[in-house]
Amino acid sequence: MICPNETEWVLYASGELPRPRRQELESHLAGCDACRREAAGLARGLTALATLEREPAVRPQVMETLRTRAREAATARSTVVSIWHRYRWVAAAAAAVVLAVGLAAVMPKVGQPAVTPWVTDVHLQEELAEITASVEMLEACSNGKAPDVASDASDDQTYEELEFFFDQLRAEVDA
Amino acid sequence: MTTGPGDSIDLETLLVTFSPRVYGLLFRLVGRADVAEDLMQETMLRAFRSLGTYHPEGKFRAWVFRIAVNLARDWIRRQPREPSVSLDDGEDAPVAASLRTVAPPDSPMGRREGAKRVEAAIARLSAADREVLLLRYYGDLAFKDIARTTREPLGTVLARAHRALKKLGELLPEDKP
Repeated sequence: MICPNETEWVLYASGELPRPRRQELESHLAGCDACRREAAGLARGLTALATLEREPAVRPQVMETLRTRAREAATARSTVVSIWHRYRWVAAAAAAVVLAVGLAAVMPKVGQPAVTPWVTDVHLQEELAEITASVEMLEACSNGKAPDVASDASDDQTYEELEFFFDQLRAEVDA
Repeated sequence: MTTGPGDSIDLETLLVTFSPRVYGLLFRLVGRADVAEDLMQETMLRAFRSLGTYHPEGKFRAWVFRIAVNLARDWIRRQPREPSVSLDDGEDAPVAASLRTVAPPDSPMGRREGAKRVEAAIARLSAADREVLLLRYYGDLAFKDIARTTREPLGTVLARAHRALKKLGELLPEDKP
């Protein structure tokens, strides 16, 4: 039999080998000095280790502190669980409302035509430009000044006509 | 220590069953009683808090000792580095020889001296080798469970155990044929 490797001797010395393999190694030990020394050295290591106190006493104060902290942790946990059980329907309802509002804000409205933002509406922009020009003209007229935009209007356009034009535009926008 | 997977366990059982051995392990890992006490408490509290949610993949005991080892590793990692002396570096021969001494091993004094020599030798092992040896001793874990606890291959764990046990074995006299 070839000498087992060192890690197998660790399992042997620690009693973790299955019985058939253990018996094979024991047979091998009977005729192999090197492996006998190897196994004996590991067994001495385990014996040396066993001189350490395995369950050293923990100071009573430390244990008492630990018990207190554990009880506090248990109380805190049971409090949280109790609060959750009491208010879980409220929390669930609140979560549902938040979810619904969020979805309504994010989801496109079904069955409704898409609304074009007014600032990008070409027609509205044209109308606003005309309104602005008309207002400036009206202000100029009311101040007794000759309108600068007169060249844009017909020569015979009077103050009343401009005012009428302005009213029309305003009515269209309102509509 | 018989607590295995699936056993119901309450606070007092947890404390009585595990505290001394977890403390022993931590003391050997970090080398300071006050730190070992703190880490033992933290280990127990974490284990206790998680009792309700713990689903054993391995042994419950291995799980508790894994918490302890991780806490010790974190603490050691936070410490300023010091030049380490290891029995692995071959420069320890005089030290090991000086540890093999005096009183008869069966006398009370001999036992105390023997334990001190072992403690000194363990303290001089590399951290990883020491961890494996102590998990075996204090945790009473099989090597496959130690491998799971330290997240190392079984072969690596066994090699560490072999190295550490050989070093400790050198502290005791060989049997006469």
